[in-house]
Amino acid sequence: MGTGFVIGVLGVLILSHAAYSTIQYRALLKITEEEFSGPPINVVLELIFGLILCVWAALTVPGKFLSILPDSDENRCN
Amino acid sequence: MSCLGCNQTRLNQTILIRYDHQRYEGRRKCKTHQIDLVSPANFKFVVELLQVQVMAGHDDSGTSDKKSSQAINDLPTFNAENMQNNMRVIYYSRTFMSIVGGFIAGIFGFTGLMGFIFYFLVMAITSVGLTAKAGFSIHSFFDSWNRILLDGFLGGLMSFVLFWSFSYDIVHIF
Repeated sequence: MGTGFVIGVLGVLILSHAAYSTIQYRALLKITEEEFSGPPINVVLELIFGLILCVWAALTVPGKFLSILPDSDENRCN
Repeated sequence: MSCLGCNQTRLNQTILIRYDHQRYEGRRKCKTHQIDLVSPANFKFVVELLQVQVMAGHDDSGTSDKKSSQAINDLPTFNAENMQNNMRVIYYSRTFMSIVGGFIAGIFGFTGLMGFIFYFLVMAITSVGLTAKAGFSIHSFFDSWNRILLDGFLGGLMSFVLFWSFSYDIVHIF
């Protein structure tokens, strides 16, 4: 639970940094009067990396899957 | 159901009772104390006990009657509490991934159909991840494939669109 949470927070921070980079990139484009066709390549890589970290956090933080079979070991209580 | 006087737990097996009270045969009162076993106040208990006896094959002792009736009424399929826990895990995972996916779609600058295609892509990645988390043996955690593939799809879509428009506004408009 601890490490997954930290990885999730890290992923969100990386995404926020990517958003900030894109805002600055757009300001630069406004100065040079070019069209926005997509974020620069390093921002794209950053977004993919942040997405991978968030996928990892989304799968590990909410908890484990518990078996629903009535005869599995952990369900035996009588 | 016992005679109040002598606490005999064995009900005399010759008593047959119809629901309308109008016919019965056999012993009606406890032998020792003459207490009416089938008075209207006791009627429901006697009928239930008789049903249990019929299902269990006329066992004598009271405790084994209880066990066999429980075995017949037992849920044959699965542990519902763990099932709910698994559904909750899927719900949290999908909601978080929808929010993150929406944020990323806004940063990329997707508009229109491209955004929804991106949402389906993110949901597909989440489904694959959840399947891998369950160790590819779905049936020991869920009762059908639809749960792990489709559950929370539309709720996630609303969160996705919300954060998509939110981050698009922040990055591209303001």
